[in-house]
Amino acid sequence: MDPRPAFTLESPEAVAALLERGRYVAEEGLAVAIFLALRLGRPILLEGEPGVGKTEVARVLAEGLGVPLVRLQCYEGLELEQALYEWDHARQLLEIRLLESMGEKDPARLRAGVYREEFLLKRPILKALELGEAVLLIDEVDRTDEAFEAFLLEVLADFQVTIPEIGTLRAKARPLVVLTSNRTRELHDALRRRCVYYWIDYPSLEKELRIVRARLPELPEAMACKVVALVQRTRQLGLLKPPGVAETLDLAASLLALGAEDLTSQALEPVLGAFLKAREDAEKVRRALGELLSSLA
Amino acid sequence: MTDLRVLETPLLQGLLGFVEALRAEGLSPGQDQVQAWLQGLLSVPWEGDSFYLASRALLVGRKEDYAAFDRAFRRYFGWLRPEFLPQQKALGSLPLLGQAEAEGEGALRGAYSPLERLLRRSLESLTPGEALVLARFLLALAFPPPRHPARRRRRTQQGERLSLPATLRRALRTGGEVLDPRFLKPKRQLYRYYALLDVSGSMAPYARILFLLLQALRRRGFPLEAFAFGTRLTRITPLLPLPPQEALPELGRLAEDFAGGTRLGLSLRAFLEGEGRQLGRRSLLLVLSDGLDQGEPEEVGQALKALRRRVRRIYWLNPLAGLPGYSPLARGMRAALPYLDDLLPAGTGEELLAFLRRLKNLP
Repeated sequence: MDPRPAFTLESPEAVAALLERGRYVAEEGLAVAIFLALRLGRPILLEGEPGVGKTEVARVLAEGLGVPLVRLQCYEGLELEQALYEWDHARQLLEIRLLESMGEKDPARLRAGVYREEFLLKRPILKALELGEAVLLIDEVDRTDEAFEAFLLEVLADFQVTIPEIGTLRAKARPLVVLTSNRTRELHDALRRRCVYYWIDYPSLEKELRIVRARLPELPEAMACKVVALVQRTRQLGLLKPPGVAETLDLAASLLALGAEDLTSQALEPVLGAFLKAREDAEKVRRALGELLSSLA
Repeated sequence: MTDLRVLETPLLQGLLGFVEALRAEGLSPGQDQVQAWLQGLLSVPWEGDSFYLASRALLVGRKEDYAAFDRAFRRYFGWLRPEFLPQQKALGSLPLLGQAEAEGEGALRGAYSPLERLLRRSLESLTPGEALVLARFLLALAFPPPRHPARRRRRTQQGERLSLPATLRRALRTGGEVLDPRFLKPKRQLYRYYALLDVSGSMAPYARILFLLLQALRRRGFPLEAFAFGTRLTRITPLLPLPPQEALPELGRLAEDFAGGTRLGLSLRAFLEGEGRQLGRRSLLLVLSDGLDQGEPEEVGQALKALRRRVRRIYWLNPLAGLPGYSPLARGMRAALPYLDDLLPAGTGEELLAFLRRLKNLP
């Protein structure tokens, strides 16, 4: 019998409200997708350009549901030991010494003495399975290799892990699993099929404005409008790294910190780096800045 | 996990048809995904965009497939997210894109399965997607057209009355020994159905789904002739076999030509003159209208009186008739009442279902 989903919310609106409380402004489609993931106990796969708030979703969800967020940051060459569990060899060796000094000679008993759960270093996936009621964030899953993906599939299918020395550990309840991908590599279909899927797009002007207002309430509204409009225009310039929502927030916060009164080229000059992360992009925007600003007015 | 048996088989088939539509677009959702989809549909409200969004989240696994999914969704459900569709037409035309209205079901909401809720909702408030699901559901439920016993009989191997001539002819082959008796059985014939669909302004929200109902009947093999009327009468039988996304705009254009008005009496008269000769005891006349009329009520009465003598039954399906406290006050409706075999409500899926059952049990 599969473990049941750890939590449910009664409707997509309830999910949207929960996200809203965490000051996350979500599209209806995202709320529906999360609702389904919770209800059906399936992992949710979020894709989108960098900086649109994929990771943030998991954080806000964990906060809103009142459960711990267990995060597994993926990277190239990620090994099972870092994702699942590891034996604490140093402490095992010490234990063997200790047992030997107490006169224990039987190898079988020695082995039983050191392969116990207390010598297990639990890594994120095992930790999430053990907690059950948790949000497991598997961040940037596209950075790992296919072998790891295959392993993930196995875990996500039955929510249990077998440790040869101990036995099978089974989740008491299904944690909510959030996978994110920046698509540096195409994920395997099998993994996609196992998930509820949602593509997070750049937000519309109104939505992005609501996000900025929610995150930086102290920023004057007129200023917020201008900042958002500027970033939205910038996204259409065909930059190498178009600014995400995170960059909009950075830009707005920098302007706030510098006490800028209005959005002028002088005020923008020192903070361009806050939302343009490539030198070529900064050059391009700097050249187009006059035009951009006049089009906002 | 919610039990999938809640989904009745016909609805299930209607939904699974969409998976086929996706395959035709080159998408290949896995068995597991389809299962999750059906389960997911049980838990989301079907109003508004949820149906679309939930389906997409569960059946599609990459952004690149969104476009193909949208195409399949539009083809199968005849509807797409509002922002992808052109602006709604002015009043008097059939809105292809109905905005689901807020519901007043209150505490009862969630107490029913999505299907039951869909059936209970006013047709007026259904989005085109929901309308299509409902129509597909009705299609799945619709039975092959009933046959009624005719005066003539036909010979069969079993039946009520022995056919002596046939039996004796058979007996000749076996040297006069009756080994293979032949019987007579009443011939059973199909009714011919004539549907007059009111597409004037006041009927616009209903006409769409009533048309889908007619399509469903036609696809089930009912010999059905359909006419649309407003200020004039137009034969729309050729539209019936078309897919909804082609037929509905055509119907909308027709309604526009009529500029929203209704001339009930004139249209009935035109039907009588045009088709009167074809009518007979095997004909059933269905009028689908709210009875709001700008013409003379006497014309309505006269035309129906004449039709009454030529057809077997006249049924009037009125979307408003099921509303609490409804009484046939509209002039056209009042004039028609004495000549009808029955006035039937047709404002919700349930009422349409009741109508289908009624059709099945006709004498």
